[in-house]
Amino acid sequence: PQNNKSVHCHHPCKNIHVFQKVAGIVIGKSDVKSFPDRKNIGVDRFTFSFTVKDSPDFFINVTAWGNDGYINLLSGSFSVGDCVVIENPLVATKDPEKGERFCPTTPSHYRLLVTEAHSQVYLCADIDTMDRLLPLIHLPVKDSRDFYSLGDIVANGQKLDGTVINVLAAVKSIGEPKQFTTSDRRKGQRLEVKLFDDSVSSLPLVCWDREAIQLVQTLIPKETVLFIADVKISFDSFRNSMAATVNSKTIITVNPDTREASLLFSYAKEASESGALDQDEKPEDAKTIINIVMFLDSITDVYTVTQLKEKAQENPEAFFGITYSFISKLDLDSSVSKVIRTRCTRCKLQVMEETQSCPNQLCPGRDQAFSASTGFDLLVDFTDHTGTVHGCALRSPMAEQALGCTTNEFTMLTDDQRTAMKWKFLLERCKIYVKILPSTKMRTGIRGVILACTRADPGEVKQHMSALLQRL
Amino acid sequence: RQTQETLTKKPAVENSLRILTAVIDGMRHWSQFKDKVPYLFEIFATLDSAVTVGRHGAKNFLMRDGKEVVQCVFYENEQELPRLIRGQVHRCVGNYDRSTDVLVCVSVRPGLPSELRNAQEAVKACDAEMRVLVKSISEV
Repeated sequence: PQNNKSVHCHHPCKNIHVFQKVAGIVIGKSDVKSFPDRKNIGVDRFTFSFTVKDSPDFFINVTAWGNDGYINLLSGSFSVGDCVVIENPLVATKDPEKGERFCPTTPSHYRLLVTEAHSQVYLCADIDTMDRLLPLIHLPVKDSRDFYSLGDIVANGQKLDGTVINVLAAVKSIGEPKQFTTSDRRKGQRLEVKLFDDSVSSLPLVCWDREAIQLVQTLIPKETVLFIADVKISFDSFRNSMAATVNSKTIITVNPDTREASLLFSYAKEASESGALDQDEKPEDAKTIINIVMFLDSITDVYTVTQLKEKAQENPEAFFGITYSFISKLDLDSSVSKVIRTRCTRCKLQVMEETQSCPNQLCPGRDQAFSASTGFDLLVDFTDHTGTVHGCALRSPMAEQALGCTTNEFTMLTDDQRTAMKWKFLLERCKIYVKILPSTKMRTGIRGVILACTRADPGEVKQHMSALLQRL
Repeated sequence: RQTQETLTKKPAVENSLRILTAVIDGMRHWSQFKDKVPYLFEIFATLDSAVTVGRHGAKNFLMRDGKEVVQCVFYENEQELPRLIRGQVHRCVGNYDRSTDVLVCVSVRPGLPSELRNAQEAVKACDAEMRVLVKSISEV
């Protein structure tokens, strides 16, 4: 609808001399989406995008629009890795405000539009062209040295929460795709790949798009290295680890043709043959703990309770910090059922321990096998000389770390032992690592998650107090 | 209308619980504002009496820092009072009752040498915070 004029004097990709006919290799592809047609009420318009590369340095986004039949047929006719010919696309200048936000970043100033009436897209059959194009699939779309190792991601922790970066890592395992229905009745799916490298033994890569899922399902674990350009990094506070998520800007290069990738490939092969990868598959909790400990190192900002509340009010994003506060509520000696709870792993609703299905009508995992997890699930208050933060979540596995006790061990304790455990922390000055989430639901406007809690070193408390006094 | 909005937007005084590290004199001073803002005190002081048993199983003792002395009481509801040694520094956390001049302790234990060395800075920071708070209370 906008910017549809053809640009006759420019070539969309550098090496294409007859721009009305473009041959390239598909390096990325989105799912088909539909939108209500504003001009024809009750009719939907369908679209999908793909990215083609025709030289080591140039690639361009192509968007197809049309009716249900045309778009689904076209989308089904090729996949990532196929060579395609695009005839008579409309050439449009990029509009960074519009579609480009949801497409991979390309070096081209243009994008191509494909419609049924004007254009044709078909698989390339010319052997010479294919021979030229096929090696391009192994070239990363970003500078091959511009990537983060998994160790970099875990060590940077909170600094990378929410950022988009490039990652080089090997595939450790590929999970099963999980189907679900969202609350507005749309079908969704999710697949998780576990990545590893020489610094970290496991980091999840989450895919939500059908196309991305199809691509990663073809990969061979322990023998594949990925250069993942523009992947989103976040801290998963439910599992307490960093995670990467593929989105519409991400381009995955399988077995990239770079020196760094070949070194990692050798490492992966060696680690796989020695059995080192299988060994650390078991103690999942221990690995999580290592991830948390490395993550905590990245948290250095110290706050008073008032400062935490003020920052949460000023800034709608979650943030991480340290507070030297007294634990002022810790109900370890109420009934065990209030300390250790079982929740549905998908919707987090609390369920009875013996439940076989999730009672939540809106649970996104209702049509899948039910899975629940049992762990510490406490609400803790902490207080300093400026005020109190109420109801912070202290859950497994951080709770095990803080209390120095597993849920099984805890259930064996006598009432007196549980009271004694409580008084190890209650009204004591602690060093508390906390994630603060501004919350409109809470009366106080903030929700806290405790990532770690230890008795504070008095010398550190003094430093914190001195810093506060200097700011006055 | 604008002035009304700014008036209603003026931040209320934070009135959740606070815990103030204080010397005995400071505790007595700051306790006069307890009806405005709730707080408990943490003090580091020397046990200056025997521990005696009062009514309802209450344990009574005196704490001293410098020339100031305060009567303390601890009720063994949840846990027993640990053995306290006269002449040594202890850490007490509790609620100071201004009318009876008694610190009702909820937590009492021996003070660690590093805590004693470093507590002064917390006392100063709490005093500074309280001065700001008292100023804002008197302005409202």
